[in-house]
Amino acid sequence: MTPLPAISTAKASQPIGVELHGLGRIFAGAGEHSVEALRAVDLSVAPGSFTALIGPSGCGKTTILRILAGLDRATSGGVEFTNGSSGGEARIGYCFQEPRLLPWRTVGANVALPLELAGVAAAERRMRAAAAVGKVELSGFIKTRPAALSGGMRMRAAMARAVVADPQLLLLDEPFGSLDEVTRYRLDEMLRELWRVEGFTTILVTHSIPEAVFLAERVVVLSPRPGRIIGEVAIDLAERTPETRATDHFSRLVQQVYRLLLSAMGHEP
Amino acid sequence: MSSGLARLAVAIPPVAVVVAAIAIWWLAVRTFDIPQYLLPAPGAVLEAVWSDRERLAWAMLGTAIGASSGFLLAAVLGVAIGSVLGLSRFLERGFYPLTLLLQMVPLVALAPILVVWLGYGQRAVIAAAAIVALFPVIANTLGGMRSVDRDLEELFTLCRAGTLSRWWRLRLPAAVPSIVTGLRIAAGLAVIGAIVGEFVSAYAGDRAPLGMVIVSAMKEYRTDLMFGAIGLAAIVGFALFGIVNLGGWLLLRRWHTSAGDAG
Amino acid sequence: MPRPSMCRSLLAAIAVSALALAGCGSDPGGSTSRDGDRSVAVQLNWVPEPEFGGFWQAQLDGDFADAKLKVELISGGPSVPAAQLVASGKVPFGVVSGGELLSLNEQGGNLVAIFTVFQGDPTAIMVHAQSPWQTLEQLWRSDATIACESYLPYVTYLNRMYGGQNLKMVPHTTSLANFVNDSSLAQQCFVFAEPVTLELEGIETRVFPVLESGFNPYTGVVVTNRAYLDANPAICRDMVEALRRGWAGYLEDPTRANEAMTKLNPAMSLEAMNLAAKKQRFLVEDEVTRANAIGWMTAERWKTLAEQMTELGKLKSVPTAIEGGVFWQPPVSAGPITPNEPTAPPGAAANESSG
Repeated sequence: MTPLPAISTAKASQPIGVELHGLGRIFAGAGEHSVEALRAVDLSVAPGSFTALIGPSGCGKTTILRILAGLDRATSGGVEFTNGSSGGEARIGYCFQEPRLLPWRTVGANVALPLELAGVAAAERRMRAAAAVGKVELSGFIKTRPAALSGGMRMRAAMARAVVADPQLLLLDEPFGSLDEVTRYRLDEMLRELWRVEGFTTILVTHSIPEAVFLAERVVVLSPRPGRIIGEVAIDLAERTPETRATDHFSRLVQQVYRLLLSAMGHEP
Repeated sequence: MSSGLARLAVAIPPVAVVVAAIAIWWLAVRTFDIPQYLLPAPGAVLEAVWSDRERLAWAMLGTAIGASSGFLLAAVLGVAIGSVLGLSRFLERGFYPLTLLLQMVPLVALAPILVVWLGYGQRAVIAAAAIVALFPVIANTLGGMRSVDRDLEELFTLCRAGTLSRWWRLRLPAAVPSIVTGLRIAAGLAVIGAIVGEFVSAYAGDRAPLGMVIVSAMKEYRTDLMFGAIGLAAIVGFALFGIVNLGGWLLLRRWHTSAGDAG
Repeated sequence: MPRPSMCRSLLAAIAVSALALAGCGSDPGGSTSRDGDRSVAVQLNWVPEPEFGGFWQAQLDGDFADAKLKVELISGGPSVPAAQLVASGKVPFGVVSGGELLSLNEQGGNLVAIFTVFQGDPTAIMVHAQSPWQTLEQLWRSDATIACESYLPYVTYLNRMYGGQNLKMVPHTTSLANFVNDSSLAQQCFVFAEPVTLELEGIETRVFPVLESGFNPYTGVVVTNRAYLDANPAICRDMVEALRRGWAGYLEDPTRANEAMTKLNPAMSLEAMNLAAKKQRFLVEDEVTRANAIGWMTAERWKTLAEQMTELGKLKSVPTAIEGGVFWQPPVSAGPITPNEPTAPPGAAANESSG
């Protein structure tokens, strides 16, 4: 087991920036069946920012996150983390499309898993897991097993697990895609608040334009496969409350992203 | 309350089938006038069991001890071997075919040599029970470890979990439902193994185990007693199976879907 | 060679159950018809070995053929329920022990003995030559471990005579490996079989025949079932007479039959068979056979066995009909058939009859 560096010096950590340089990814297949998922993606993400990646299905959004998390390798180009505090590896939190909770563990034990695997002492682990569970408002369910939770609650537990180790970079892969609209709004608000307080650099992959606009400071639009960056929209909302979604400004931003997406799909505006 | 009733209702079909089978058996013996040495009437079997109850109680106890010891041995060894094989494809490819041998080996032929190796008495019985019970535990442990959700494996990769940690925190618990299935099969087999072991290894006498009782009754054409002893051996098997089921249910009820989703 | 075993008894139990199902309402007379076809089978209770030598001799010498019998000898083994097969009519003839016949009949069987190979029961206990026990009684009063069929009547008989509370009885398997490995082990055997095999392998034994204790059941008993005997008395008579001749021939010179048997059972060498044949002779012949015929049985011996078994709790009661009930045998038509007399076809023998 390789302990994550400096994990217990938690709070002092700095969010990191991310630089993608000409990132490409080809999935090798038999003969002509290899698939080019990404082509020459250049992206610069500032420390502490919230970026949303949006694009049609199969445009390689998830692949970008997986490469950043070390679950996949780029075939060309590279990734650079900037402003790394310790000079060692970056601490990354990852939230998958599904909760991926261990069914035999309680919510608390699931959330504590990354700390456990990093060799954090039991007492500290319990404390930090409880804090993370509190942040996603699941405190009353800390001893509950996933089978007894609703889909939204499971996703919140997964989010708590992603942030429990005080990540410098949080990667979210369509975390709320399978939830109903109302639940999704609530979780969006919760996530936005979490980011505001904790200040980790956040990259969100989503299919939902309103979600991207509501959460991010910047929405990056990708083309269909092979994914390339088509353009981006800066989100200049003054505040993000449930009311925000009902404002004209919000709707204009949504339209702006939508037009960009349409052009990415090959429709001229 | 109602769940108690529902559980009773679940018990009706098997009970009905058993009752019907016994009725057909009884009718057949009566109608065709089948001599006792070929097939005893159900009543004769019960009578034989009752009149020999003390000897049979000791016999059941002896067989139960031999079978459950062999079962426990197989459970511990099986999970250990299955886990080790689950660590790497190389180990699995190298050793899994060897473990298959365990299933292929005819225990009846092997049992006498067990006595030569281990001597008369319980040791050979326990070994025979363990040998037949081992394979399903290995196979199901390995199968359970192999079928761990890839997404969860990825979660552990993300957290840079080591091999041992991954085994202990992910693969072993994830394999528990499968291991329990293996143990269920092993429970019944352990009793068969113990009986076969007793055929060649058990001490005769007032407290001889069921295997000896079955052989003696067979050779004396006491089919009533023999059927009774076989029935008691089945009860030992059911009991062991029931204990495994209960243990599995307690372990799994809160998280595994096959044990019913908690509300 | 290794005698009955128990390790395959489960198979035997299954076989019996199958018999029970197949036996419902079937013809107890077996597969042969009254006249014409005189094809019969004999279910042996062990593999071909000298204890069946006379059966093969009768085949080789044409004793069966002379009696117009076409006989198939079916090898047995530890899991073949010979007694049940005959009782249920699956085969007309079989070889069992005297105790088995009495026990089975009490459980609803209908076996009739028509011939006995052995006047003296070959059952014995062997110990290693270097072991301290000099007599069966000494052994039985010790705390030795004995591999035997502990449910057989002779064990109970010896327990009654000598106590035997301290003995440890373990199953008797077909293997001699345990005995060879453990010089303190005693094991049930046939006097002329296992000790001979061991001797040829250089392992010296001391053998205590059980019959010396006073318990001496007929062994190697040829049986048929009551219904078959009633329907086919001529076949049964001819069978017995052919066996008398076959056994006489075998005692004269066992080599040819042994050669035939060792081909069917290579596990026992020709040398061991020849030696065993010599050693079993005194159990096949005695004053009764010399006065009557080989295979001759007396009501007195059967009654003694039944009484002993009743006494031992192995039987509920002594059968009322012994002669004609428990056993039946044709009179000696050609005078005593002895090994020294040349074999002759039944017709020729009948002409010499002295009544």
